Amino acid sequence: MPSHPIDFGINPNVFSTPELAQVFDEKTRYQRWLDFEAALAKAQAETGVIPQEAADEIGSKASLECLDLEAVHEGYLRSRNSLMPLINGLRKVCKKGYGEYVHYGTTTQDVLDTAEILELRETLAIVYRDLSALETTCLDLAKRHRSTPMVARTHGQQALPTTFGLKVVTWSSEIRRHIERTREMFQRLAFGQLSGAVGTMAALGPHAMEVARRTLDILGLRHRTLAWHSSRDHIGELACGFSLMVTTFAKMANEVFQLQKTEIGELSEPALEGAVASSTMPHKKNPVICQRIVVLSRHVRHLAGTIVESMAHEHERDARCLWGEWLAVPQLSIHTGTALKYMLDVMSGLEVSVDRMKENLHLHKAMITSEWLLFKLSHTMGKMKSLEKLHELSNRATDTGISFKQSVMEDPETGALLTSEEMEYLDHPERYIGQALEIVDQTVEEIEGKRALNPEEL
Amino acid sequence: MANCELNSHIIDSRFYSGGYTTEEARRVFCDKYRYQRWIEVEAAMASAQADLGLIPKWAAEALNEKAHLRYLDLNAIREGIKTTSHSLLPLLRAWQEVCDGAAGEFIHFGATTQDIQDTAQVLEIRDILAIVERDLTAIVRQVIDLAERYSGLVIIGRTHTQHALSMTLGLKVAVWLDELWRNVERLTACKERVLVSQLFGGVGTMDAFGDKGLELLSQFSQRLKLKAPLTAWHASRDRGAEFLGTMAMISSTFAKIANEIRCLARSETGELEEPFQMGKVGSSTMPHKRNPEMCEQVIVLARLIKANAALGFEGIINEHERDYRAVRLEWVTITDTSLFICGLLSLIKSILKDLIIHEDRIRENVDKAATLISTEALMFFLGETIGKQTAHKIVYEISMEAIETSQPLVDLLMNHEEIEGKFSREDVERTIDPKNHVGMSEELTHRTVAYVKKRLLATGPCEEGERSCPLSDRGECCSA
Repeated sequence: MPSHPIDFGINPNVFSTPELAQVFDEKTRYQRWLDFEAALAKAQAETGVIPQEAADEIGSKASLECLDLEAVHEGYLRSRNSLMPLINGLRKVCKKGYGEYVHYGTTTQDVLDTAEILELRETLAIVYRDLSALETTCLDLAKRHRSTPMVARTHGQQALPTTFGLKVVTWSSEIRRHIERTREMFQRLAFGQLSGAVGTMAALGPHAMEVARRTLDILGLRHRTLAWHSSRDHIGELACGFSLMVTTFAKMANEVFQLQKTEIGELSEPALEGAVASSTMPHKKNPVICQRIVVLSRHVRHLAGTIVESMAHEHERDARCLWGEWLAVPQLSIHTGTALKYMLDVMSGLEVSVDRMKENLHLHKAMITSEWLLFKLSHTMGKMKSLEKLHELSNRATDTGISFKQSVMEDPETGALLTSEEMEYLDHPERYIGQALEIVDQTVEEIEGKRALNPEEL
Repeated sequence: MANCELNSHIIDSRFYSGGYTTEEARRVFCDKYRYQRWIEVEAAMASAQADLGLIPKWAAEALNEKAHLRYLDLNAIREGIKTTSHSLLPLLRAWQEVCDGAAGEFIHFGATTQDIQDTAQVLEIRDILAIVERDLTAIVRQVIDLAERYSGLVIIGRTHTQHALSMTLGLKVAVWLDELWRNVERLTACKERVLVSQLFGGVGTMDAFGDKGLELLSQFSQRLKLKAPLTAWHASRDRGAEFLGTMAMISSTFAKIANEIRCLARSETGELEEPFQMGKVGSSTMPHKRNPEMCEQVIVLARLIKANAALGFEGIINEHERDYRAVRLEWVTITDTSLFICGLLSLIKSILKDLIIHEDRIRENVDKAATLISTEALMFFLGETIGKQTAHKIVYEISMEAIETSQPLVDLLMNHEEIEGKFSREDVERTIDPKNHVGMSEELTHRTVAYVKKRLLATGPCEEGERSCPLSDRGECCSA
């Protein structure tokens, strides 16, 4: 009975990917809790806190297949504790009373927080992998279109010539910073939690520190001396980091969406073979994936707000904050990873119409190089005077329907100052791209240099 | 007042304020006027209390006589706020100073600070709502005019940014109009609920007013022309949130309209353009630029207003009988939203007043799309004579050829061996003319215009308050 779009089965994986859904799958989560209990028992046996036989028994039964899940489910219907019914399930299947040593001296939140970090570690590994792939794709695209001329736009209006490569390296540079942020976030995140009810480790006994260190070591996590039950800035940081990341995707997706407009037609997202865009308009080809990315990013930003708000904990534990985080983190993670996957799809199959780019660049003819003209005339007329003059001439051209070139040539003041070679330059906006090629090359080189230093995995 | 020279909020900038608000709106929230309002609310309470015998008549008269900022020492008030950390008491003390004899003893008799400040805030909201209503109604008229003028102008409709089907510009505008009218209705409903007074004492029991509390509330409210609420709303702030939410809805509708104009103004589309006059400069380095900056500013303001609406919901969550964390939030959110919405409405009025409609570009775009969007109609028309399957094959081939070679579809079709001589060019052109595929566009437009016009007639003229600086006669008026 899936009622959340993340879990839909008939039209699955619109807002999720199978891989991410698996990370946050309910049973996977419970298994992680059991893994924690097994690791704790093992560490406690090693330090002499509980008998070795107890740890062995707990370790051999700490698997969902060994438990009576029906009974655990019944337990949850009667209990409001997030963990106890599962612990009771484990306790019951442990022989010789060894079940008494399950969850020995720890608190529910130790288990759940540690398991959350395990989930986020998997999530970050996926994100890191896909971000790296996206970076490769964008770098390839930037190199391929290094010098493809197109028009740059400000205020939605055609501004000056540029190259598509320059647009793409701008995206790449953001992606590079997200990769670096991901690595930094991971450094601050990969700590488990094992500090007992209010962070004093009281019930963990004299070997508490050693038990905690060993338990988390088994799970591949580090231990922080200080409890972070009520100190959740690293989760807030992850939420903000994801928020920034998907917003870059939203910006890229929106760019594709805009440049796919019928009148512009410079880019389009890859269409599925045989895909039907509209149920009623046979000619339509819609940028659907790009819009999904924008939608996912909106959700992620709002969820990040909720998660950051959850940092404002009261006293040593605050369930209102914690539960807010529980509800928001899986969605935030799944949506982020899904947007990333979509972005990768779009960029890998992006259709680039070099012809339309050229056509649009020549739309306003000479006007698009008005800045070049401005600096040509500045030598003799002065810059502010030229700006005023050209502004007047371009508006005259727009309003009277003559070409800008003609309006410049016919004007007694400007016409006299320009040679015919200079006037010819106006027909070649693709030449007025400043340092675009150098900027593309240098940026690609810089990013590739940094890539070489990155490990394959997080 | 030394700080008259400091204008560090963009709202008060002597250079940029106009992009964010209007002089008229700033006057409503000028801090001097705010004090003047507080003191007027206090004076109204004193008069009502005298009528009910709660305080002596002579005292109320003496208080009213000096209930004006021009008599008070503003510097002393400022110093007083620093030492007492109280927002109201220093003003009341300064007032007491200038009142004759013992009259000052009857100031603020049994009210709580928030009674005065909340009531005064509602008076500010009332002024703002009057401006919003006036401007919104004016805009509705502008939009009606546009819808009527362009009810038959065929334009391409777009979905997913792609050319979809033809429609009329009138219908596009009529959809705006319909939404705008719902906003007018929201505004009316909001006024009904929000414009109430507050006079309930410390925790809302009216204890200090003895058994005259309810009567006092009623007379006090009448004097200020506000409705009397059933219970205290010190900690019940849904009204503020509704105001912020309503303003957010209104401004979001305008953001959508402004964004539509901005999109249709793109160089490649060029169908609409916000008003332009010589001298307006788009770019400091690209002389040819004409930017839709007013539309963009509308979107900026709508975003700010929308963010405040979210804070409005935060403000509903109050603890116990009073919670300053909520009320002090409103002092910023309600003020900013009010200032911004007035700026937004003024921009929209200017945009719509001289909106440039490039009919030639509209026609050009729709003609470009015509062949693609009318192929179905063409196929059925040809099919009647040559069979539908055959027609599908021919139209498909010709469409692809037209796209690839950029030749007009009709030319290609008329030269096709199976078509030549069987159909007249005129009939073919009529079949694919986008004008014949706008469905009920015109009827829908006229229907909507008629509906709104009828309701517009039923609403009376808006009341407007005149506002001048309470210190203008002391020469301390900064905006004059």
